[in-house]
Amino acid sequence: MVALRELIEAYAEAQKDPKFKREFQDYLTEYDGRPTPLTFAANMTRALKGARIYLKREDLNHTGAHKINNCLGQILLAKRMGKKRIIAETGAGQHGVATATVCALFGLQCEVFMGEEDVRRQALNVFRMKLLGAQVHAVSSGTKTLKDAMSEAIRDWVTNVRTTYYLIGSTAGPHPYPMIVRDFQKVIGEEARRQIQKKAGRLPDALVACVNGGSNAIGLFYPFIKDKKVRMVGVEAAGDGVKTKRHAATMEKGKPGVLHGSYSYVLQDLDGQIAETHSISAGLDYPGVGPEHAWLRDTGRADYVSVTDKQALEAFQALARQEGILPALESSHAVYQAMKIAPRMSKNSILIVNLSGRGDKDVNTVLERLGSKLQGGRP
Amino acid sequence: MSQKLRRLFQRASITHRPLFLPYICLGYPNYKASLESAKAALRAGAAALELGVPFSDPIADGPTLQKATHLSLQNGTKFADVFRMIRDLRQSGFQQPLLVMTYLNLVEQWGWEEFAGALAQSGGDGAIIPDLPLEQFPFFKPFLQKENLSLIPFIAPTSTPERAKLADAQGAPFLYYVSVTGVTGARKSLPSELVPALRSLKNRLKTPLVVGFGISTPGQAAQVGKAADGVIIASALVQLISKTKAPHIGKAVEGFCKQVVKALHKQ
Repeated sequence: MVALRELIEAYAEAQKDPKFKREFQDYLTEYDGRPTPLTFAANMTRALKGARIYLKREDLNHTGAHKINNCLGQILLAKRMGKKRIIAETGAGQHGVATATVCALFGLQCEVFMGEEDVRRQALNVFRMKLLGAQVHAVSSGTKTLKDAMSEAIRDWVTNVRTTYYLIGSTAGPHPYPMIVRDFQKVIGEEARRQIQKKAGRLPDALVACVNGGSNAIGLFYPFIKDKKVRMVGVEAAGDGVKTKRHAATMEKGKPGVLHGSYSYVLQDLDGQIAETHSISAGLDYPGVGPEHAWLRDTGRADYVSVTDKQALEAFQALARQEGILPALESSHAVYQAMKIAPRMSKNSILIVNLSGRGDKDVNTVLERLGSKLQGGRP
Repeated sequence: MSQKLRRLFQRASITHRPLFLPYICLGYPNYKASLESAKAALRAGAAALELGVPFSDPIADGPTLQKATHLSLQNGTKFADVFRMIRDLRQSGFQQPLLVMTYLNLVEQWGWEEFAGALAQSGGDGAIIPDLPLEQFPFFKPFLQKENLSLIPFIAPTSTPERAKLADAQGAPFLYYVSVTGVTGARKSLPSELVPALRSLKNRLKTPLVVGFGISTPGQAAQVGKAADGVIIASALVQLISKTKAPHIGKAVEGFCKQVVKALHKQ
């Protein structure tokens, strides 16, 4: 608790400091490449004959996903707090890569905890982290995936609390993390809001984003929460289907509980033991969800739905063929949901999809699933 | 709070004999062996027991307890088994206080009122929940108080004086002092600042202090016992159990606990 108090205080001070904000903004512009475009998906819109679909291009961030926004903010905070050693958890490796990147940039020691299972599945990202100068610890406890990596990072943090900053990658973990991560990700929604007003002269009718811990979704949603007419849809991973045991649909199938210091929906058994998850997308396998999403759901402000592995793959291919963009498998869940609801919306309505990351990292997974079935060429 | 626990510590402070509170992992390596271990520890002179209920994500535990709790869960251990164990121990005539140690989510799923009711009914005395922050005590302590059960606060080397005071003000029978920054697990040596830190705390706080995390030998227990009201040993005991063949577990646990009690009484 002392470490969390220290973080709460340091963050409150940083927020009051205009220099901190300016520095964060500078790095977002000069290093990360923000603002990211809001691309009109003309072909997909034409094909679906419904709402005008815009893509918030978080895939064009440095390192290929929205994760870097939060990492830049938190590394500046860590530097301010005088911490010399940075630790992070990672599932698919995207947050690990983003953390290793900012640590390289600021010359800080970086250690990333990653489940043994994920280390095996995401060998390329492990190598990327090492290239960037990070040390990767394979975690062999529990289910050997993201939640265990996070548990191990927390254990390291309580052991080395005096020297170490824990850089959490999603809106998970104890307060103030979900708030901090949201604040550093809300740039997504702020930009999208400005961009759509400039392009269309009005606010969108709906926002769609994939949700696991929920950082990209809360980043997009947050600046629109007060705009009651803007519908918000979070898309969870249904894996093989929510009727099977292999999914990560925390909102749909979870119950309120405490995981890693936050109270929110959690996938668990009757006793409260945390359940295993599954999704084709390695970045959507945390059995909890950010507490602010639970609040948005319980108050009815946002809707949460789920999309299966198969459907996500379908959207992955559709976006590739129609727009020339390979979306991350995580983001493909959101794209599928957009494809589903756009035809039911009028032609002058506007839909923004958060394209949280690029799909290059997933090409191997997709190859395994589609492989020989895939026919090239254009009809 | 549990009167039994309060009296226990009152007696200890009069006799200047630090108490031994071993930790037993429920269902490790199986229910029967863990019950035997508990009985053996109590026979050997344990003042009270910490009965650990396994959780899938034990963030305060090091590798030894992670492995033991994981195996216990794979063996099918359920939360309700802890009440069964307490009943079994009471039926065997053991009177010592029995504390349930577990993580917050399990209690949340049981429901605090149901948990307190079941714990009291089975004959338990209180709960230790490492991921329940002091800030939350006002919400949950009343459920236990209603059943005359104790909720044990933690303090760590990093706790500020204000925080230690807040823990002290909870009216608990003892405070669980975490000897190191870090997780549970046997360590070769204890931090040199531990005993002075305990002495300074003892001067400032009125609640007895029990020290856990990292203590693994009778010698270390005796060293800590110089400045504390009690000592907890967990991982070292679990390691001993993991190295011992099932039929000999009771005997091994009894032997080890006797040594610790003896070392503590030599003060």
